[in-house]
Amino acid sequence: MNKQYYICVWGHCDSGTKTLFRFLSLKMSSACIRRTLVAVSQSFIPSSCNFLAFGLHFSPSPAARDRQTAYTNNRRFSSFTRILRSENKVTVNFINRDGQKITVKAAPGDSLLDVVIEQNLDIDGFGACEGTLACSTCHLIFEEDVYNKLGPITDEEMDMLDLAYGLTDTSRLGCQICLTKSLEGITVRVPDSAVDIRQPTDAGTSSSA
Amino acid sequence: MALVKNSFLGAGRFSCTLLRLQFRSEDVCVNGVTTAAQSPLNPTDKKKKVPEDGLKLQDFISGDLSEKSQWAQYKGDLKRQKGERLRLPPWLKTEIPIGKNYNKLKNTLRHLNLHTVCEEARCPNIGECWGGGEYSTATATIMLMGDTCTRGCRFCSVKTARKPPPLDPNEPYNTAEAIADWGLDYVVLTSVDRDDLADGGAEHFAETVSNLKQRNPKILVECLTPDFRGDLASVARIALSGLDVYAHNVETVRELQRHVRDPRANFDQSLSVLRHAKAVKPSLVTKTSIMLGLGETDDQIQATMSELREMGVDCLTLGQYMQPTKRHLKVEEYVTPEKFAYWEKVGVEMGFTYTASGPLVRSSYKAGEFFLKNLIHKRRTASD
Repeated sequence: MNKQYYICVWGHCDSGTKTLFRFLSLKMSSACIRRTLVAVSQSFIPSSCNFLAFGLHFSPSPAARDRQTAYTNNRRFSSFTRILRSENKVTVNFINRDGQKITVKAAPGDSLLDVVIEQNLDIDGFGACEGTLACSTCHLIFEEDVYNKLGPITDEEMDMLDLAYGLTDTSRLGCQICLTKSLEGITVRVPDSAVDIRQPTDAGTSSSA
Repeated sequence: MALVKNSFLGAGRFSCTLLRLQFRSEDVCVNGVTTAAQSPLNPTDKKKKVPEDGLKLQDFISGDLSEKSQWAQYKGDLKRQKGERLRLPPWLKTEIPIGKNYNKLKNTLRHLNLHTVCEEARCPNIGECWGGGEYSTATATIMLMGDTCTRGCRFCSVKTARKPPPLDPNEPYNTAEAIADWGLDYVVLTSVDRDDLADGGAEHFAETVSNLKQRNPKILVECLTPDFRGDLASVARIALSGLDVYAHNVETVRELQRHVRDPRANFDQSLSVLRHAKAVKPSLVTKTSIMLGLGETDDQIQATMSELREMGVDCLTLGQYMQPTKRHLKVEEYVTPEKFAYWEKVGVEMGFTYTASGPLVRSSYKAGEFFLKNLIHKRRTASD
């Protein structure tokens, strides 16, 4: 697949006398880019100089991860910074209603609701109000020590939390908890919903005509 | 260099291959390259082998790939297993809404700054109702008091906010104007929940109804109201505003109320609304609606229907719950059209004035036709 590459080369001689700069715009496949960069650098820069060359291309189709963020989260101004920040992730463990443990990595600053939605975690009916403190579907239960580390709770959050099913002393709403480095490796439990999912649905009576 | 900087910030998505003098072999940031394997699940994978370079437009146009088989031949799952997300069965597939009527309606609504529950809640019947046809005029269910609700129910995709924008004082007038423009004889009005207002928006709602009736006394008005947090004075205000059918949905069976609806809503509160509306104006026709497919059992549905009948509710509609977005509840079961027909029979036997039951039936779907047809039918049998 041929992509439009923009190549920028600049070199600096040890003597400091010259700084060469070249800028090219070429169309080629990604396999060729490395060879081209080498060729371009060698032709423009004398061998005695240090040089730096790089080729940029504007990807016509976004990466799969970016696709998710583009479609689901249009609050982000520029999504490319998220690619660069690959070392800055915080690990979060979710224990689902059925006991299954889900471990994900998320960027600091994301709320727990954002994490669940963007990573498509299998938690049913989570975040119905989209984080506007108008429901209690993102209700999560934290461990005692983690709970104490979290930020202060606002009155609005408390109002909504009071309506939540299965409220505990260490409950918070996921849309209000933003991840930080200090929350690395926490385990969060998703409380049982009002309907116990292990309730036996009378198989045979419901779907037969 | 300046140009490159601009492209860094402007494009937003890029990939860069960084090359040093020593030719380090890793390519940094290869995520610019998109992989074809990330394409969405192909439903025909199980049945047909997808060719190497993907499907062509011709494959879709020719109709070979559509699963328009009869429900009897449908082999997919109808009850959700753990971790699964059910696929849409063939009887629930609808056409994409297009056409002259559809666009005309859309323009009228935007021009008058009106909202419809059809759009906000992503109703699958939007193409059919808005398109109208040779036998029916195009109709829409206007949603009053804005497009933002103060509650977040797990089945509904209407926008939610803690403090929605204030009410538009011109809305009652604009609504009446729009409906007069469409020349309908039966109209359904609904609204969002407005717990931030003192009366829950009852005054605004009632004013819209009276405006409508003033403009056209012959029109039949149905109102699908919120529960006003149980404030029966607000219920009375609307019941006495001149409407013909008072609707309020209980949404699901008693056992699933806490799971499906916002915690501020509950079964008894909704029942009290319906009961009070009837008490205040006995000639009023009351109506309610239940969604199936959320994990209820047959006994629960039966019990709910009896309770509603005892409360004096006249009309009942049963429809299939469909998951609007990924933030909402997954569908537990796709109820077959035959089962819906069974529930219709049960409803009629119980004594409901009419029971509309089908996978795509919604509270206001063909409400006019059902209502008028039944009314005429009743009158004919009475005179016989």
